[in-house]
Amino acid sequence: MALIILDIILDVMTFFFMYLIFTSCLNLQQGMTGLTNLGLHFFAAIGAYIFAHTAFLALRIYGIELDYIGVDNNEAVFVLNKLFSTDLLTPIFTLFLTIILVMMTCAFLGYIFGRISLRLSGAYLGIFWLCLADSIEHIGMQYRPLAGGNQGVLLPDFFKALNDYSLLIQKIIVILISIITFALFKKISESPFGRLLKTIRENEIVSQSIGKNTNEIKVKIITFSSIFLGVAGVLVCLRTRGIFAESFNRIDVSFWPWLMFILGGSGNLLGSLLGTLICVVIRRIVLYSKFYLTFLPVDIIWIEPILLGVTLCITLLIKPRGILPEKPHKLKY
Amino acid sequence: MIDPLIISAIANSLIMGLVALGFTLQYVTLRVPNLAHTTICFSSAYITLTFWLLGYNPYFGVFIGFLESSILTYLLYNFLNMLKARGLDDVSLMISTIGISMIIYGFANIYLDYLAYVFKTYTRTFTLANADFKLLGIPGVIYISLILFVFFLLFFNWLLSTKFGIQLRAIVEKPSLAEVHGVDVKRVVGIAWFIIGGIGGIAGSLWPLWFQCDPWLGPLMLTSIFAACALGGIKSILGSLFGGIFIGVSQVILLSVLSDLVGTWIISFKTLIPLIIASLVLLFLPEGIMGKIQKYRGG
Amino acid sequence: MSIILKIEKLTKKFGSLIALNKVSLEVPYGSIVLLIGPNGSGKTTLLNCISGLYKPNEGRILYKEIDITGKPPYEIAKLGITKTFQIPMNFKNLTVNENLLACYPNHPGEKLLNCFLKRKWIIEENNAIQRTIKVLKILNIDEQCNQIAHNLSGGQLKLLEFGKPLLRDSELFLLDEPVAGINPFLAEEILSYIQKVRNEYRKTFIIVEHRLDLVLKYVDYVYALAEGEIVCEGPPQEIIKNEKLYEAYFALK
Repeated sequence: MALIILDIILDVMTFFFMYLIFTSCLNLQQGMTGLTNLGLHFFAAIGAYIFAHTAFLALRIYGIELDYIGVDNNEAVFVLNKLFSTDLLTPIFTLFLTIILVMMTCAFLGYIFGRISLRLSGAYLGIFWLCLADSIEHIGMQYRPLAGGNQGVLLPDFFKALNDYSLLIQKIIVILISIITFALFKKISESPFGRLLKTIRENEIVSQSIGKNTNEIKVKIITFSSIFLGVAGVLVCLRTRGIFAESFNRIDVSFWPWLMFILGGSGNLLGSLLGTLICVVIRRIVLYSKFYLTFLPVDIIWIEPILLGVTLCITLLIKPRGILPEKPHKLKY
Repeated sequence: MIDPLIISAIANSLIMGLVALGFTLQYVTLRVPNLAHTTICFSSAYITLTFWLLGYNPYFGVFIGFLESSILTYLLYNFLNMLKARGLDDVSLMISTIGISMIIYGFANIYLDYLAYVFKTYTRTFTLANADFKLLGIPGVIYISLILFVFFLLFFNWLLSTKFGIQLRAIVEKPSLAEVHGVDVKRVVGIAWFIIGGIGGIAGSLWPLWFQCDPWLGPLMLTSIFAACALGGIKSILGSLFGGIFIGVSQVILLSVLSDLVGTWIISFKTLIPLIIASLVLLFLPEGIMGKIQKYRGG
Repeated sequence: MSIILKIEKLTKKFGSLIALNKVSLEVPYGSIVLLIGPNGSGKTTLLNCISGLYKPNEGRILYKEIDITGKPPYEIAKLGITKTFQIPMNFKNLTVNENLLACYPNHPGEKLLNCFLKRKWIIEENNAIQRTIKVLKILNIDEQCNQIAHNLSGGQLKLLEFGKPLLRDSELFLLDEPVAGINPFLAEEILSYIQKVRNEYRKTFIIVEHRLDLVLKYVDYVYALAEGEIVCEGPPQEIIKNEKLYEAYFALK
């Protein structure tokens, strides 16, 4: 019984830390800089699609020819699982290479799209990212060679060599990367650079008139956060043990983080943490209660979007600044 | 016998034109992109389905769809006003419409699940094209949507020349000035939103009579409708109408041309066309075609 | 160099409306220059062109003999020109001290790569804080230091607005109606402080104002604009005797 509870707690924690990355990026873009982004799933999907290909690098290394995304996916996974049961170095190298490649690609794409989206602001900017992200999701769902289409791509167990500790290690990796991300974002929010971002959010014209190159900074922010969003995409795939393009949809990857961000407190990173915790716990409760409510003629899972919408509306109605509003910077002198 | 491609193009463009018109009207009256508009409009498709399942003529769904959609839109308008009164900015208002669209999406799924349970049939994806009547070999939905389209164009033309229409135009130009001149902004815009929602609901209720529907239809259409409005010019009502028609036609025609060129696999990328158009228009032509024409004229 | 700012035949059009028509003027170092004229004469437009908010259609602006015509606002601000706004524009949800701290020029902590290592910026941050407190004390709004800017009164906002170029330590201050809507005593305080800054630190000021009764005794030179053109110029004692000035204000032709 205790093991089951521990398992559940660890499961919830992994989800929490995964979503923390998305919410932190939202806090940086919208909360601090005022850049609306409804398409967080763009970079996450890019990260996942790259992972779909680099994950099977080991096949190349071992000289095995397989259509690992298409028909031979199952076989490829089987072969790699066998190989990884004795070899830890190759999968770790694969993961390492994936992360580096994803970071570089997302940074590059973030720079390009950040630059060209400079002329948009507010709602239009948000919808632009949504259109972009939905395009990528759509391509991923339809074009099989990219990321398995609607079949998806199954992944091997990268830590098979560690047997029973494999899942644990993967969860720890997610938690570690998330903590590092959060720490970095926290440092930004408490620095003069964070203050600069807030000036852009408050009044871009005045910010320019005191000598800040707002365009360059906005591009920097998008580039910076796109790196973490891409890595988050890879982590999601690690957890689901596969790349499924439909898991990078607007509801799971963009709208839920928006709720977490607004509920917890826009402009307050700790608020985002709180909001993430609340929402992840609620979602897990809904998921687990599914097993107890099978007598209903309808699938309990549809409670989730309703819960999302209702909480969003109530929060905006009652506490639009969130549970933990932004703390004003006070001087002691 | 008319090529089904042409029928698809006409139906697609007319329905999308009506929904896009509604989106733009909502934007110019409240300055908020209503991201729940398409979810509400296409939710009336399920009402058409319900009537058909109950054994009635699916066209009854048009009337009830009008009511359902208009009431929901009116309630949404009041909700947005409540938030506005609390001083929320445009982005937060837009986020709230996302919340509303998620609630409706959830209920739509529950409703469809319930229908499946009651009528013991598969309702996740459905089309009622076979239930439609045919006149001279052309499906009834074409006649109905054409009639409704022309009717609404004339109706709007008439409406904008009435006292109500003038008040509405004043509100669109400068709401604060209109208020000072004694216009009850809340009432006028509320009625406008009611009508807009109803028209969109009628358009959405006709969709299953030719096309396939699923619970995700409403949210999916959002980006296409936004593409139509952005293309035509987000502040131009005529522009969004033409934008909707253009996107509707191009989706069908372009796809058929491309599939002849590269293969039928391209058909599954139907929704990608408006998405790409939307992204490009937002980047390179943010004022839309009508806006560009106005700029060219006005100088 | 004795001339800090030189404007040559500056023209700015908004569609068919000509807001500035071949305006030329010179501003000597360490002077306080006043721009006057009826509403719509192009005073604020001129300041906006200098600060980079507007791009002029024709003409040149030379700051310290560097051509700054059409440069973006942030570049011009970095060169040492700061403009305040007629209606105070600030960072509403940030505190008064944050509003000023953000103005501190060349802060290493405002670079993305530096912000992760506190030791790289903490010294400059402390300097910025010291300077902010000093400016707040001078302007007498140090008690509002930790207040959100949104909560300040109109007069306090005007003072905060003036604090920004002070903190930036700019060389050229463009002040758009710095004492509009302020009680006369506070206005005199601000104007005498402008003179003090000019005398002690040799800063240059271009001021746009309507309240001639208050301002004239603090300025060195006056330019009068009407309908986008300079109708007369001269030292303050002469200009009030110039008929063209009254023609411009009362549209007598």
